[in-house]
Amino acid sequence: MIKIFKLLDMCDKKQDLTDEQKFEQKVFNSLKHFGYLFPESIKDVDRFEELHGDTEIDIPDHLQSPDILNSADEFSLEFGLSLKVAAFSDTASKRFELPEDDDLGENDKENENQDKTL
Amino acid sequence: MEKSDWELLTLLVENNSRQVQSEFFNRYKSFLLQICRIRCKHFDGGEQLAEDIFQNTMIKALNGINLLHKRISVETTNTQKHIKAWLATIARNEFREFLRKNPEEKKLSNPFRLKIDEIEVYFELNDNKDEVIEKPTINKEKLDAGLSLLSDREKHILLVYMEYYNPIEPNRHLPDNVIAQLCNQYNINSTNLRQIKSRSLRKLMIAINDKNI
Repeated sequence: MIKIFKLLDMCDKKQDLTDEQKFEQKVFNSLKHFGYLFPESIKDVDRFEELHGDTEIDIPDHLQSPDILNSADEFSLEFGLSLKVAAFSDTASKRFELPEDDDLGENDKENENQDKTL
Repeated sequence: MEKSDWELLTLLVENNSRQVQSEFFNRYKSFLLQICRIRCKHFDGGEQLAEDIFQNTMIKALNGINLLHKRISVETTNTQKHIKAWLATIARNEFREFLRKNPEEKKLSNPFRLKIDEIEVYFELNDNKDEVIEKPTINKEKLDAGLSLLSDREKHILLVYMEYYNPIEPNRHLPDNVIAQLCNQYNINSTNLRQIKSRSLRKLMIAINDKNI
């Protein structure tokens, strides 16, 4: 029932659209379809793969290796997972800014202090 | 034998070892980098931006993988698509984060943070999303040719508008901080901004209707 109302509402809105807005909608649909906007749903992913295939693409050497996720330091994350992350590795520090003190949550600060005491 | 996507996801939650992370990384890197590259290609420094979004997204995804696992909860034929759509949603949020910032502080968000609401928003989208995207009526060559005729500023402004465009609410405006950022970047006011967007659309319309293109 809610869906019917939503569709009716959409139809009403469509009728009110100016030419520019109608064209805007066409441009949006095309950009979405051709992958210029990020896919958001499973249907979007299907559409994207239909168009671009799901084959391997050329990936630069520095992104080939999952080393960007690894480092010597282990960082305890917000959700309690432990993850070895790129941001503290030598290579990644050139790409990521280290978090500012203000950005750190209480748990992070505690972890940082623990690291320093080790 | 290759693990199914669900098995890999479960393994990541149970044993978040470097080897399992590598397997996840290798399985999804092509898809993720491709969507980032296509999305960023019309932006200044697009390749670098795409790579930064790619890295941040991978880190954030692995950070929040247990929440994704919990929400999918059982193996389905769609697990791989779910993971891909989820990666794309994180990448889109990273990209939007980038758009909201001033040129001087253009850096991506802290890759260690994946807010719980980011995951909730993704599932909400996928649970309730009605299919409102219609088949495109503009072909890709024409669209590319049309976009290439716009100045960098026009193209940038139009693509930012499109990033926030909602077909259900076509009159919805850009978020205030994105308007402020664009105005600041191009030294214009919000009226100029709307005019530039309209002009870009008109130019694009003329280009697309031009039979010689």
